[in-house]
Order: sequence, then structure tokens, then C-alpha cells
Amino acid sequence: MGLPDSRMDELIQSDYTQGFVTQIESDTLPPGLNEGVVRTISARKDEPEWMLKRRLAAYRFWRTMKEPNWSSIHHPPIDYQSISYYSSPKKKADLKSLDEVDPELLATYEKLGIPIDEQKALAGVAVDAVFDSVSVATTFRESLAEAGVIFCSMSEAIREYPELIQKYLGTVVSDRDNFFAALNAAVFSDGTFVYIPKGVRCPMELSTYFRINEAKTGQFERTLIIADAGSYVSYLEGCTAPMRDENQLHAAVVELIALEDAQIKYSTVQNWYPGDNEGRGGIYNFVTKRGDCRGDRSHISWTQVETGSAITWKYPSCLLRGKDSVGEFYSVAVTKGYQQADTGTKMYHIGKNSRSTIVSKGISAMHGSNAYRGLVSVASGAENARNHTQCDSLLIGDHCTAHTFPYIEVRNPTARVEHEATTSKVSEDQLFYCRQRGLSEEDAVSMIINGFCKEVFKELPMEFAVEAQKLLAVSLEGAVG
Amino acid sequence: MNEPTLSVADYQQAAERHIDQLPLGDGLWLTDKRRVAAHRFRELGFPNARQEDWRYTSIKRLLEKGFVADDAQSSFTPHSVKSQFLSEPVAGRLVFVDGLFQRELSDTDQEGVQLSSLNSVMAAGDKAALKALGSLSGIGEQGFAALNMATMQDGAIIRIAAGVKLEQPIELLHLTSRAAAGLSLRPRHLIILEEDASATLVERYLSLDDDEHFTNLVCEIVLGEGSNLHHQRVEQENPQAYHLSELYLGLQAQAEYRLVTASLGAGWSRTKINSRFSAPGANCELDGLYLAGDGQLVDYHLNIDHAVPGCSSRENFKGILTGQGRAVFDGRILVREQAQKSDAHLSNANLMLSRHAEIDTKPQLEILADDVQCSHGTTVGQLDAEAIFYLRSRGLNMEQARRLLCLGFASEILERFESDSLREQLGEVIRQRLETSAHA
Repeated sequence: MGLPDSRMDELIQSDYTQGFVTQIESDTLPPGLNEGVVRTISARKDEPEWMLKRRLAAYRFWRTMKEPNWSSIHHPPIDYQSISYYSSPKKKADLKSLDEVDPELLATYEKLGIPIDEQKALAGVAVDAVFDSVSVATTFRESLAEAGVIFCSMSEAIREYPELIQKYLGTVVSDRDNFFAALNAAVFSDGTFVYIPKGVRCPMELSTYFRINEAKTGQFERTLIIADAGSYVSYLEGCTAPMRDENQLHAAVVELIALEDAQIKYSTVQNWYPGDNEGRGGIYNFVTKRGDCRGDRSHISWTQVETGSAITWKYPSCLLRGKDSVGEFYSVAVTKGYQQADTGTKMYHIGKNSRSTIVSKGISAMHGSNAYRGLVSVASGAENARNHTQCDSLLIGDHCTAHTFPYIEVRNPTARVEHEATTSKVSEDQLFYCRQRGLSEEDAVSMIINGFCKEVFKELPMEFAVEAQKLLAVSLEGAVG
Repeated sequence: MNEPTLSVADYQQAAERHIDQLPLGDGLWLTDKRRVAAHRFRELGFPNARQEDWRYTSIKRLLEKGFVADDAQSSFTPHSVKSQFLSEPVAGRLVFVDGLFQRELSDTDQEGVQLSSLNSVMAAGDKAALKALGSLSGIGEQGFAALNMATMQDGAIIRIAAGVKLEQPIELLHLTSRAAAGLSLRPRHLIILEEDASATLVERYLSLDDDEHFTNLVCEIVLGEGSNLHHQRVEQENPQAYHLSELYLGLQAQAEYRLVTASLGAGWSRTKINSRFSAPGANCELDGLYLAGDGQLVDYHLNIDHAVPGCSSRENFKGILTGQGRAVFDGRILVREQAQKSDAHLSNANLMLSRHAEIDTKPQLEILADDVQCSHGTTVGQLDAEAIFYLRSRGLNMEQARRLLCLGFASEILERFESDSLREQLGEVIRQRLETSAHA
């Protein structure tokens, strides 16, 4: 009958192997938020006047907003005045090669198993490593530039490509979209900007590793990816953070824009510090991610593996505006310890023949709480819209919870919308069968879990799929295998 | 748009006046309870779209009408009422017109069964019967339920003694006449099945005329250990009517509750079913059918609370939308921490036949225990083009083919109505409705 509780507990308590603090001198603003801070951030980044104006407008609007409380997550109130809104490694310079990067920093990445130079040589992945809030190493710029792809930090983009930024930034997630998006618009520190020109298939998978390193530093990333007509890009976002005893707020905004016939594939592996097994510490990950299928036949797909953070609160969404546009959402969310996840997606069908697929797998163990919250909306003009949603939850242990809240709103008679959800625990029959074949309990459960998540993993780029499987195995080590 | 004619305070004062006019009997404690409810209503007010439960269902028009809580001076011919009776023999019959009990038209003689009206029970100060009143619903968690508790006018009290097994159904018929125009009717039913009792209840809401009125109903159903209730429910008031039903079920060990419900009438209708298991081994099955045509809003809210281990529930709701019909479905299954070995499955299928219709559906699973089997599924779609083609190739015209497929879709639920005459009658209503929508 499954594993005995004591054994289970012992197995569950695998440590966060990526928990360590790198000692690097950094330039950090004192905690607090006011117009002065917003101005300072803008000034430190040598931003043009129009950007500062935008930030201030967002800040003023944010001050009129209330923190949302509708989701099923619980946390002590956040004191926005006790957070420092800017931190950047001091040795900031225009680096020409990896040799110039602080060796300690490189060592950090190596501990995480992300040797930049190795990846550069072997994997052919251009890595824009974000260490805290400022990009310090960007690789493969030349070969990307050859293809006409712009892949740079947001601060650089604001300086170098103001026309693109002014045209697209905030057009998918407006500066007033929600409480955390407004906060982000006011104080975002840095992030990634990608522009793929017309007809270009991005020659490599773009990747950014985010790290939160400075204690008490909120990280406010801003990502904007534009795929111009007929282009294709696959973007990987991976996250790990050092062990820390205080909650850290992370309120990122990601905007994707796909024009006619363009395709954006956005994959995330999120493994931030989840807090300890008593629920102390951990990252608050309140993210607004939205893709806009602006052009006909455009295609945006979100794939996420969420194993970290004390609280995950995000709904990568698609506005399916173009005719025949396609939106996809594949998600695995794991909660253990006292982790909470309230995640899902929104698919707005506006264009004719727009299609969307949602596959969400939630795994809860120990005191974890996992909620799928999603919306499928079919507007009256969205002829022949099609959606299929599958949400499955797996429960491990009797203190965890799994919730499913799908909203379906249909205003067109040609729409076909299907939603299915199941919740159960690891089947004892399956376990018995595997055990009988000589697998250890751990291996058996691991195999079952991997099978449970397979539909999502197969959507990940290969390197990521391997990492995700490992991550899942480590996260649930013992909880199930 | 118009402003609501009456404020929350107006409604509360009306409720207080109503309570003041009640005859003083032994029911003082109940009067107190009503006062508490009136006060609670004042606190709660009416629900609004900001409340998750009322997100898609607006009560703006309902409030604009300003329906007042008053008793009607009904005038109707006994024949018009009798023509609505079930055609098969019944074990008992309770008839209400405009919310008030009609003794002459009712049939309350049945051994082992108490069939009486709330008013008579209150007048007699029958505390034993009234003790259970509000035991499941409480004072009211939303404004309308509290208002019902404060101003309830009459209703059915049905108590089936331990071990009594009724072969024939009990009929509960609720009619509205012209006299109900502009009124808010506040029926309140209490149905108790004692240990191992078994019964079938046919509950219907029909209109004799087509005037506007508002039915604000609360019904509590207490099922004792091992008891078994088959509940067949039809809401078929006139298209001007507003209808709100709030059902509360409490299931003891091994109790079994089967509901089949059809919402065909009223311009605005909402049915909320709260089911709570209080001991293991109970089973609850809910089947529902709704039709929303021009100018209609049909709302179903289910709240299935697995509070104890080892219970099972199954919900299957189907909807057909035509014209400018709107339907709202919200099916929540909650499995509490200690409720291991729960089995809960919910399904909601919607057939959308019109460009101007709208469906908002939201099944929910909230699972706090691990050893459970739970699922839900929702679909929104159209008639299968291939099936239509097949039927047309057999010589049916488009309308006939459509109708036949819709009836086939509905029949899964209709078949659960045990009474042949009722099932046929409902089938006919649906056929006619589909016909008019096709010509509209």
C-alpha cells in the first residue's frame, strides 16, 4: 500500500542542491519604493526621457491599485517598502569574451551545471545570462547578428532600438494590466529583448538563465520577443536561485508578439528556491506572461516546468487574434513542502479558425497546493474556434491539495470546446505491476510520474527535456521516486 | 437603465413588517430566527457580479422589477389546477398556488408519511418538525436565502417515517396564477426521510398565466441513514418569470439521493444545489437538462461537498442553447481533507445552436485528500454534421434532422424521469421549443 509515511517523509526531504550564495560585490539600492527610486533606476540605466515618463506613469497608477486576492494562494502581506528595487553586479563592463567575466560568477554557473563556454562550444545555444538584474554575459551575438536577429538585454534595446521598443513594449501586457505588471513596468531592472526579422528562422535556440542572487532584492524582469512575419524562434528560460531564508518577490512580465505566419516557442524550467520544509523562505513568483498571435496563421506555444518557488502565480496566455492562429500551453507544476502554485492559461479566441491546446499536469506532495486556473474564451466572431483542454492532477500524501478551476466562455455556435480533468493518486495497481517486474518502489514511482508528464516533456527542446526530467526526479526524490 | 425600485433597506423593512404581522403562537423562537435572517439580509444585501458565484448571472433586471413580498389573493378554477396533476396515481399530493398551500386540492392521507404545509405546522407550533428548518441552509449565506428565511410564506413539510417505502410518487406542485403578478413568492420546503425510508418526489413549478413574478425558493432535504430519495424536478414557469431555487441536501450514512431536474421555463432562472455528505457510504447522483432560448438565462450551480470518507457523487448536466439564450453552469466538487476514498465525477455538455447564444461554464475540482477518484469534463459544441447528413440522406429535412439529434442529446437525461406521462410531456415541450427556435 504505497510507501510507509516515515519512509516517504525521509525520501521527500531532498535538499535544494542549487542553494548557495555567491559572494560578489554588488551595487544595491536601499530598500523602499518611491518616485526617486524609479528615477534612479532609469538614470542608472541611461534611459531616454520617454522611458522614465512611462515608468513614472506606471508607478503612479500602481499606487492606486490593490494587490489581488482572488487566487487560492496564501502568504503574509508583502511589504513593498522593504524590498530593494535595484541590484547590479559592480563589475559591469562591456565584455568582449567570457574571460572578462568575474570568475566567481562563472563558477556559480558551473555549480548549476550551466558552463557557458561549454554550451557555447557544444550545444550551440546562445546564452544571455542574467545575474541578478543586469546582463553580464551575452554570447553568440555575432552569428545572430548575421541572421539579423536582435538578442540583447532590455536596457540595451531601449538605448539601441527605441523605435521597436516604443512600438511594441506594453502592447500585450499594458502598464496597467494588473498589480504586478504595473509594478514591473515601473521598476523593471532588465530582461531580454528578441527581434526576429521577416522570414528568418532563428539559427539557434535562445536561452536566458535567470539567477536571483542578492538577498532582499526583488527581481523585475521584462522580456519582449517579437517574431516578424514568417519567422521562427525558440526561446528557453531557465531559473535557479540560491538558498535564502527570506521571501523574495519576483514579478516579471513577458510579452510575445507573433506576426503573420510567425512562430514562437517559449519554454521555461523554473527551479527557484521553494522555501524549506517548514515553509520558510522561498521565492514569490508572480509573473504576467502573455503572447499575442497578432498575425494570421501565427503560432505561440508556452511550455513550462514549474518545480521551484514558494509561490507560483502565473498564467501564460495567448490572444489568438489572427485567422488560423494557434495557441498552446503545456505545463508541469510540482509543489511539495509548503509550496503553492496557482497557474494555468488563458486562451482568447478572437480570430477565425483559431485553435488552442492546453495540457496541464499538476503534482502535489507533502503540504503542497496546486491549482490549475484557466480560461477559454471564444468571441462571437471566432468562427470554427477549437480548444481541447486536459488537466490532470496527481496527489502524493494526504496533506496536499489539487484544485482545478477552468472557465469556459463561448459566444459562437461553431466553436468546439472540450475540457477534461482528473485527480487521483499514483495508482496502486501500476505500482504493484512495476514492483512485480523488479523495479524498486522509487524507480517505479519515478517511472509513473515521468509517464504522467510525458505529454509536456515531449514539447520541450531536447536539452531542456533532459534537465526537466532530472529536475522532476530530484524535486520529488522520495516523495515518489 | 432603470435604477432598482427598492433598496436593500426597503426589502428589509418589508421583511420586518411581514414578521410583525405573523400570528403569535408557540413559534416565537422561529420569529426570532426570522428577525435574525432579516438582519443578516441587511448585512449581505443582494449578490453582485463581483462575487464569484454571481459573476455571469446578473440580477439587475430582477431588482428593477422590485417584486414585493406579499400574499396573493388567488383566483383560479380547481379544474385548471387539476389538469396539471400527474396522470398516474400518487402516494400523496401537496398543491401550492401563488406560494400558498391549497388543502382542498391536496391529498395528504398516507400512512407513515407526514404531508403538511409549513403554515399549518407553524400554527400548530410543531417544534419537532420545525427543528430541522434551517439545519442545512443556515440563516442564509447569500441575500436571497436570508430573505427567504425572513419572509417565507408557506411550503411543504414532508416527513417519511423510518422504514416506510413508498411505491408511488409524492407530487409537489407549485403553480402561479395571475394574482402573483409583481409579487415575490417565498416558498420553503423541508423534506425528511427517516432511516431506511424510500420515496419518489415529483416537484414541479408551472404557471397558469404569463405574468411576471419572482419565486425565491429554499428547499432542504434531510436523508437519514440508509434512506433513498428519487427526486424529479421540473421548472417550467412562464417566460416572464424569475425563478431562484436553492436546494440543500444532507446525506447520512448509506443514504442515496438521485435527482433529475429540467429547467425549461422562466426568463431568468437559477438553481443552486448544495449537497453535503455527513457520514460514509452515501451516494448522490444529479442529472440535469436545461434549455435556454430567446431572452432566457438558465443558471445551474452545484456545490458537492465530500466532507467525509467513502462517498460517491456523479453529476451529469446537459444544455441546449438556441436564439439569444444564455446558460451558466458552475459545478464545484470539494473533497475535504479527511474524505479519503471519495469518488466524484461531473460532466457538462452544451449544444450551441445559435449565433447569438452564450454559454459560460466552469466545472471546479477542489481536492484536499489524496486517495480519491475525481474527474470533470465539459464540452461546448454543435450537432455533428455527419449525423445530420446521414439523417438527411434518409429523407429527413434539415429541421427534422436537427430536432431528432437534439432530442437524442436530451434523452439521456429525460429517461431518468420515471413517470411516463411526465417524460413524454417534457419531450413534447422540448420538441416545440426547438421548432419555434428554428423558425425564429
